[in-house]
Amino acid sequence: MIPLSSYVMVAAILFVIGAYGVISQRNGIKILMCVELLLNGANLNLVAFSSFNGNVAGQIFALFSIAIAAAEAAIGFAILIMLFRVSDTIDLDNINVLRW
Amino acid sequence: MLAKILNILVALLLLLVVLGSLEGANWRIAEGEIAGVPQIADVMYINYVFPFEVIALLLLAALIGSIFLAKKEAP
Repeated sequence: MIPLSSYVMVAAILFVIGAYGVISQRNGIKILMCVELLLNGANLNLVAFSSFNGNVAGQIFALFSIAIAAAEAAIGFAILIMLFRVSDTIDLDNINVLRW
Repeated sequence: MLAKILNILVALLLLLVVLGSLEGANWRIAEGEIAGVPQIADVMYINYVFPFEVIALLLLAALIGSIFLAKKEAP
């Protein structure tokens, strides 16, 4: 049986890969993909702790979190489409229309 | 180049902090059966019905909103 610390370690590595992508990439689609990685790391933690603790609530929270991630991805890609129509690029360095 | 090195440095630091916090952690692990699908269904549709419906509404709102955003003609 795989110990709990292995699950948590994999989740931590997944989270760090996602965070690295968010801070290093400048392409909108890549950033959205890395946000999904962050959410997947958190979900893995929820499921691992819930199943090792004998409490089902964590897995249900993971399901809800996946649904929220789907909504977030849909809105994010729609915003990216609008940005591409307005400014012909999704490179987030060039998008400063909201900058004060 | 400097930004790249800084990014990798920050990511490694984050990894170090997160993995370091796992050292010596003392988690309570319950004995017995690992919860399966029937338990999930019971708890989800008895204790968490309201969040479930709210999530359904949220997904519907996200669907309508993203279609509204993406379907507009280009200015």
